[in-house]
Amino acid sequence: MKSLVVSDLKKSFGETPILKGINLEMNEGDFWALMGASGSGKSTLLNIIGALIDASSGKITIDNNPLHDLNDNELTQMRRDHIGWVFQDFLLIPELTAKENVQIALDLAGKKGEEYENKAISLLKLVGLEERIDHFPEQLSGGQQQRVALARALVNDPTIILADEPTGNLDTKTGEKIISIFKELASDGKIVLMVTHDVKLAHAANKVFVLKNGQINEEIEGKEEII
Amino acid sequence: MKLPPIKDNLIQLSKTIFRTRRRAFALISGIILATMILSGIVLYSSVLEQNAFRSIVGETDFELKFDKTNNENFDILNDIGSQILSDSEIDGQIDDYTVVAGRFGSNSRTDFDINLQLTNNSDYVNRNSRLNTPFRPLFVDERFFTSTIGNSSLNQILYEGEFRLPNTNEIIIPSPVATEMGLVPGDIINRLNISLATQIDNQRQLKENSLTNVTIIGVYDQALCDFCEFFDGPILDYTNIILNYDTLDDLYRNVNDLMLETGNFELLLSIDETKFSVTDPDNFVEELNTLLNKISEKFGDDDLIGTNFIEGAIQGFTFFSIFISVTYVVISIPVIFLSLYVLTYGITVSLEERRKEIAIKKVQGGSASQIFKEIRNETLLIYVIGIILGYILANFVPFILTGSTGFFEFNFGTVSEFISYVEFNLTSLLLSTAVVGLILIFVINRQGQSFIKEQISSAINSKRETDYGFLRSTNLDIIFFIIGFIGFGISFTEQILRIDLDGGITLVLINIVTPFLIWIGGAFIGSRIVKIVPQFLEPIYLRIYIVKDIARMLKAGLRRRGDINKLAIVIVLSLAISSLAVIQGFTDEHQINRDLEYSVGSDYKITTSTATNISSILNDIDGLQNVQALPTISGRILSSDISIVGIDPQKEIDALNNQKPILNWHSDTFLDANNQMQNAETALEILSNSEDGIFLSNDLFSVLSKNVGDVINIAVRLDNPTINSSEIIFQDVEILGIINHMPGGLSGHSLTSHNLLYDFVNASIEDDDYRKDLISANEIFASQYQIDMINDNPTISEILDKKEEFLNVTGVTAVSSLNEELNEVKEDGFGFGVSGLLTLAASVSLVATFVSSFAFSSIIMERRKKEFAVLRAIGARKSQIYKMALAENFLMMLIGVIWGTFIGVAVAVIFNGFFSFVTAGILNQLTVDRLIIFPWQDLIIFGTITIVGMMTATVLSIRNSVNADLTVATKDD
Repeated sequence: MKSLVVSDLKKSFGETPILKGINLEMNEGDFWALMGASGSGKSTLLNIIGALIDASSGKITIDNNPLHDLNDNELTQMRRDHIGWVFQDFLLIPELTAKENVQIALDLAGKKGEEYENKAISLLKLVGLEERIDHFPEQLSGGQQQRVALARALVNDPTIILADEPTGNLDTKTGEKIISIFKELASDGKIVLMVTHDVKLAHAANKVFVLKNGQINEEIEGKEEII
Repeated sequence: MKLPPIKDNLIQLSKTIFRTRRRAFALISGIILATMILSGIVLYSSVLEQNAFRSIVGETDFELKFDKTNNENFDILNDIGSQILSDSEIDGQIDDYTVVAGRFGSNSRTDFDINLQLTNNSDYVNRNSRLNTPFRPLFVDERFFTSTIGNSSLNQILYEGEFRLPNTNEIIIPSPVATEMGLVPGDIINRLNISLATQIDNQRQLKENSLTNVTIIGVYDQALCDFCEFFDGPILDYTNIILNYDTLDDLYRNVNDLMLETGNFELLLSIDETKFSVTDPDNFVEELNTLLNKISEKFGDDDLIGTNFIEGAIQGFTFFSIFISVTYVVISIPVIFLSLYVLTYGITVSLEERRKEIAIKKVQGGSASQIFKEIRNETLLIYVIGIILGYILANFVPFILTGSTGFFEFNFGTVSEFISYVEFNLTSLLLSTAVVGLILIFVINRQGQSFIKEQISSAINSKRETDYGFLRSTNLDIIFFIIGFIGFGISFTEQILRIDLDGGITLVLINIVTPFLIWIGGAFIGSRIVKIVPQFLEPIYLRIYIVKDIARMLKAGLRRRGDINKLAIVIVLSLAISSLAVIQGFTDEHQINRDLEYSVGSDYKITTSTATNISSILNDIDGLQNVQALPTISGRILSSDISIVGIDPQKEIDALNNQKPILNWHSDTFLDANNQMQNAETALEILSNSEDGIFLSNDLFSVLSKNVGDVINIAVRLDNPTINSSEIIFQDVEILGIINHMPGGLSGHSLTSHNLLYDFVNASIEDDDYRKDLISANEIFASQYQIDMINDNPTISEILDKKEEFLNVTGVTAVSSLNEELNEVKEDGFGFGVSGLLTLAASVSLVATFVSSFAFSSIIMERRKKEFAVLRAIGARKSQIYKMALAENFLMMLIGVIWGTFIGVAVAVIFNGFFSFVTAGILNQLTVDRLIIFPWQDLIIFGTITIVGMMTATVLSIRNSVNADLTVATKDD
């Protein structure tokens, strides 16, 4: 059973506490949205879970693997094997094609060969880019680029997909398409945690949290079907 | 307490600069480098000039000379000298004085005749046969031996015997006289005659007297004098016979009286160099002239006439030094250009870094003038700091670098010694301050204003357009390169393939202009190459095992090289300079040795006044390994006069087989019919096996239009006035090859064996008993002998001892020592000036590469921070990021280094013609062809050091970006 468990997570920048004891537990199929005002700490929480920065205290386990007390190489390993990242501005490498951008994540994990090349292609097909496999990022629209980024995030079969404002640079319709892919991924057993400012899109998730004063103090059940 | 506004501003500015140190580093490193180069080159050539000038001054025994037209005599002049020395107004500017008589005459009509008669029956000797000049007496007193002037003169010479004032029946004589007359200290000569003839009131006056039984108490050899061509030589030369003044006063009273009338007494003064601007020729002359007038005014009654003895030296030296300075500037043009390019690049990169900041300030309401003022103030502070640091470095770096290579003597054992090298040279400071300042103003005005005027949105959002520069965007770089490459082709054909294209002045122009074209064009083409070549190499490169895990990341990097094109230009420019410097540095050093080896010909070259046979005497001298006599006779082929040298080829072959040749043979001493170099041993074998063959001099071979193997007729006549001048024609002498330059400075001589030379001599002297004896004795008489010593590395004293020993051999009039001449070249500073400057250029270009790599790589890596963060987020280890950046840069650097080395080799080949032109054509030095040396091993080492240095700079510059906070980096724009 895939899971993400966060226990009493705290984070301060200098003397300023940002996260004051976050607890949450996500399981296979969960697609949660995290909302909050600017500076509330939602991206910080996502970055800690995504092993980009350390927490001040508290514990995180992904598939029962503790994230705390790991050295840099071990954290890298966790990011490779268990975490898939989707960023607001896609962050694709402009000199590589869509397929190569996806393959990079495989390369870094030492996965090479035809099998993995096919996997990259099939993931691009999954996100609806079968016609754009050999296109360079500048030849793709924003939505298409984000779907390449999504394929890249999925290619190492991670436990969790972390999405930081994934629709921030997209128009509404394209954003909705991306959200629908997240929902599909969750229904296929992935854990999806998304930070967003868009209330409407947030409500496409199973649960919506609001981070306020360093704590998750509100939990809203997703009621509307957006798509 | 409230800080004053200016201090406040400075603190604020400093804080801003520190926060933005990455861009400040790019700017300040450019300023420091440019300042260091511009000021350093001026300082370096100035110090070399000063050193050479100091050597000239050091070689003079005295600087000022006074004649007293009325009442001139030894005692009066001595009294004036004593007063000058203790005078408070002169303030110690005069170090010492002495009075001499006879050496100089204010009346040119005086004519001394001093001669020596060994025995009652022998002839009088009154001339120095070596210089073919008459003797002159030099009357001195005790002070000559105790004053610094006399000591300085006597200390510089080789002296044998008692070093003291001769008594009235004693003399000191020059070594040629001693050699010629077979005299040694302690010997007594029968008679010494002194006569003085002059015209007074149109009446010829002649006074003379004789001394008998005169004892020789000392023999001196002439002082070594490197710069004698610039002044009237030291006090003592081979013309002087030194006597006690009392001898003149007591025994030659009548001569003395006439000398008093004709002004043959001189007061010689030496200065205290520390109280004059010795290293500033113009001021020095002025100061000396002021002192001359002061002394004349105070100690004379309009009858004390002073002469500035080294003024002439300064005039001669000034022309020489101007030419040397121009040569230095030409050699330094590449490194100056490089430093200015790095400076311009630094300013541009620094401004580009603040492009977005400028736009944001505009959004906040900042006016163009406010923003510009802020940039200007920040730049000004960096400029001042950079100029100061650069100028300090300019005072040390050139001397430390050239000192470390042995091209310059740089002592900094103590702090005060080290500080003594700091020189405030206004020209050097103003030059760099002005040039760097003007470039800063120009670039900041142009680029800064353009960024300020730029559309805010495009400054914030748009990608940076790659600026390829004027040369590349107009394709002028390709045109420059093609022209330069043609120049290289011509030089290569001339110098490496040794095919004479007969280019004349056109070739000289090509040698001067095309190196710069191929260098600049090649550098800009290099920026294209580092982008194109990796794409071709990509499939192979990405298959290398070590980069397999990052192959796709690397592929992206290799395709992105656009932002690194300017760094590539710097690398190519730098490597080209390094390679040029390494090649020409080695070539120059090699050439200096070759020239000396050629002019001396062996360990020692011995010249006799007439053809003599002294081989066996020389062979008896301890430490001597072998002697080769080089007899020379004159002849004619068709309408060309020739000079033929004879050699014992088998003796030389045996010596070559023993790895110890007598003569200094070079790879290009002999040439074959196609002008290709021929091994000396092979050529000598050919000569040895030929009964009647000859190697023709290069020039003669050209004008005769003959081929190797052809036969010629040689008309032989001997340079002996007693011989009938009719010529004997030798028929069918075979041309064996070409002799490019004959060791021993025998330029333009043809070469044959002793055997054929015997035949020539034998046939042409049938009526001459002397020559018949020569032939019957089967010995060769020569006026030049080449000597090979057992000890290859003698000390100076051993060299001088041996030289003296050779000079004592009867008939020997001159001895040249290879080691001695080499030491002299090293000491005068100018000899290796070009080599030193090239060392400086190589080192500076290396530093420029490192600094540029670090500064620009830092900025480039900073721009890639986000890319690295993303890769880290999707699972890349730090080591993989490092590996990716290093692998990307390695390929670019490798290509840049190879291309830069090639350009440097091409520039060095073309420049070789320029250097040949300078040494042979303008300086008119005795020189042989300048053979270019390619020290491949050193070039590879240099290239490797450059790559390693740049890779280190990459690692250092990437650290911040790789370790950046991933959350910030992924959002950072």
